[in-house]
Amino acid sequence: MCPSFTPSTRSRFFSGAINSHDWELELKFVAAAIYTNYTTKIIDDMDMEHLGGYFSGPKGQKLILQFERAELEFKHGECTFGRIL
Amino acid sequence: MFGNIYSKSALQSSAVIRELSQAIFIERLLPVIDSAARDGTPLNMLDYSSAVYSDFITAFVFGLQSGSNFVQDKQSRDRWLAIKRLMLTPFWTLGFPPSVSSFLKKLGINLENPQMNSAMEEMNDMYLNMLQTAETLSDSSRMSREENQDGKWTEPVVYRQLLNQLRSSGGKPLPYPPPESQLRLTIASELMDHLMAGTDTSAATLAYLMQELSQRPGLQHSLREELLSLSPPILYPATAPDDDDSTPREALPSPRAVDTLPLLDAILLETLRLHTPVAGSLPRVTPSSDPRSPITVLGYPNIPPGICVSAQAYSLHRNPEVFPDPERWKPERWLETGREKRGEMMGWLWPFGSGADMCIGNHLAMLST
Repeated sequence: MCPSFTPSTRSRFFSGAINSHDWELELKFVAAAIYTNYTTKIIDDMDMEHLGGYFSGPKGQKLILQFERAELEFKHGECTFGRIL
Repeated sequence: MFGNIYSKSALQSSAVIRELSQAIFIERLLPVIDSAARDGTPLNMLDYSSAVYSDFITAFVFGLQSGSNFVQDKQSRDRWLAIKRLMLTPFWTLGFPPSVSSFLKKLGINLENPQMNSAMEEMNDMYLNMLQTAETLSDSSRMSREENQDGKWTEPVVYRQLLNQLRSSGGKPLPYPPPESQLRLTIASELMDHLMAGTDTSAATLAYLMQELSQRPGLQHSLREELLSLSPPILYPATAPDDDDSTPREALPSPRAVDTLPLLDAILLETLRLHTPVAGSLPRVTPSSDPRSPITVLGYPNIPPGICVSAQAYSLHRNPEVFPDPERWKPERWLETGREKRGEMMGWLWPFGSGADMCIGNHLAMLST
């Protein structure tokens, strides 16, 4: 007999796999990695209007951004890399 | 005993998450952004954000060696994005039972879009392929670790957990385990929706966060100051070019340190509030109640048992009493409040469709008067 997924198996499994806290943390990690090093400017965000359905993602597949190296400012002069762009 | 296994696997998965963050966010995504920044070429962040989360989630499920590499591989990324677009379909056509669709087909009305069906097949094949690689590579992990092109191997966390659960019951192996072929399809179908939904919601959230931040250079500056306080900060490239010390270094700050940065936290919370990925209604049926304490929802008293009630994040997140000026993205609102007010705001935040089973009780309780 093939075991089936009851709601309780499902939630046990997914809470063990990746939970909303890990999920939030991954979003923070990516944002942190990007904004530590770069600044962003919008070139085109016309597609970002919400779809307005159950999954309310953007209506199109375009968010055009211009990235620039951020100046690395070290508050306490503790930068050992000696590398300020 | 079960709890023991459980906490062990939680520890292990957080180690894998860390490895994947390094391999995918730092080693795949940042080089792409860096060369775009140096060349002055704009990037379609929505594509990259989908790519980065597909890579991350498929690697978490199947292992880095078996997951997608859409961030670096333009050709496969473009194909995948094209399939995803083809798969978008009006929801109402999916609501028909198969018998109705086939009846209408006999009358010459074809509800199914053939292009969409072949796109779905291609997507199924893609995930089945990853599953197959995960199977082969996980059985001979030692060897594949060496053989793998870039030498990166990570535990297929979710695949392993699911496999173990399907083969056992209450921690004991099943006396008659299901045939492997059936296991495979069960795993594949179970995972596919979650892979896709997980990718899309994360990708959209990151894109909205970046769209909002892009409009506020001053806030980007403050955020960067906060990020540079991390130890170590997530600097890229990690070492100066003239630094000949080539020993690998710990490149990432602790997850807890990243998690507790107040401004970054406020920026994410505000993005989840205003740009909730799952904004639609999550209906629930009222339970059978004790006649002495009838069910009340949002000022509607005496709702009988078995009635469908629903709430949606979109409306909860725009309650002007809790979130003044609700249509504006203002991360400051999460910082400039006392502990009690913040607690109230957190209570009204409901961005995860996935946590619905657990959260719905809270929210209905809060709505009742």
